[in-house]
Amino acid sequence: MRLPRWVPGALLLVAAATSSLALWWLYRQDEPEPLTGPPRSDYFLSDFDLVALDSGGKESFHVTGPYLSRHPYLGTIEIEQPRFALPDSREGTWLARADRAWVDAGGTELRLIGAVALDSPPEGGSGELAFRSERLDVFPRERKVQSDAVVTLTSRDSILRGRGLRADLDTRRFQLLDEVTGHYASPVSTPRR
Amino acid sequence: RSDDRDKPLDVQAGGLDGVMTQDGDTRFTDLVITQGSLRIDAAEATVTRVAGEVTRVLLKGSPASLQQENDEGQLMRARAQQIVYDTGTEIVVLSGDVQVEQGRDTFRGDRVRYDTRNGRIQGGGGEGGRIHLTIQPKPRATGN
Repeated sequence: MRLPRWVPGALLLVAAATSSLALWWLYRQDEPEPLTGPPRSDYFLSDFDLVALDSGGKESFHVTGPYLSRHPYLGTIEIEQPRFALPDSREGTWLARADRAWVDAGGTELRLIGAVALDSPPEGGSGELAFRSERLDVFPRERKVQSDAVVTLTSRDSILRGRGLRADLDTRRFQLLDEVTGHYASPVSTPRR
Repeated sequence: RSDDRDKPLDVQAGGLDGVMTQDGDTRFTDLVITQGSLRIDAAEATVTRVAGEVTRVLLKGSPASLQQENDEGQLMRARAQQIVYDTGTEIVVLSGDVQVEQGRDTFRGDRVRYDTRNGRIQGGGGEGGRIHLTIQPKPRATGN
């Protein structure tokens, strides 16, 4: 039985279409992914020492660290392994450190992220107070600290822990918002007779 | 127990509003306090510290309740609208719908003063109210 005359041509046509489709498919896969990473930083500093002043020219905070980079458009700052010193209105200095920090363009908000430690100046006889958390937001001009994460507050004779913190570094008032546990070593002294 | 006071004190609460200073009040809400055999349940507690030492604990609830064993292992339960503990005098003052159960005896009144050092209880009915004291007879020795 003889094949109709148009069959070889049709077969050639199908083969050509299939091969070009395969080429397009392969070529399309090699197309590199467009680079969408963070824009190149405006500038970066290594082993820096930075003092931020408020609008009145007073020191708002002081930070040192191995690496700082500034966002070219937003003006925000990212810091690796920051070490902050935060003055309060009682001539005391609070020390804070973290894995990394983000600072807004105006220097009014510091977000401390990862292994965060905030230590108070010594408070009379009870020594320092140590705040520990995975996230603390500090507002240096208002001298306020807040967090929605779990925070542990350790002093000489007590350990307090809770979820959610609001603290005022000037008035030394603080709130733990939920899931609070407290352990006091020996809270009650012998009576004054 | 008399040595409860030397034991660590633990608090579980729904919230805390306090001060980081040596002096001032720390307020807990929806709390349970445990210290040795002592257990306290209250809607609110205000702990006052002077020079870092706890001097006064004010408990409120509907009611606030407190239970503790004496050195003979006998359980004392008390409940009231308000309970104030002065750590200097070691005296607890309960007021508002007070009920104190010690062993098998029950005491009801409007105001009670409980000296934790010697277990002495003084009660008042308040505005002409009466004190109700129920002392259970000692079970008769069997077989005679």
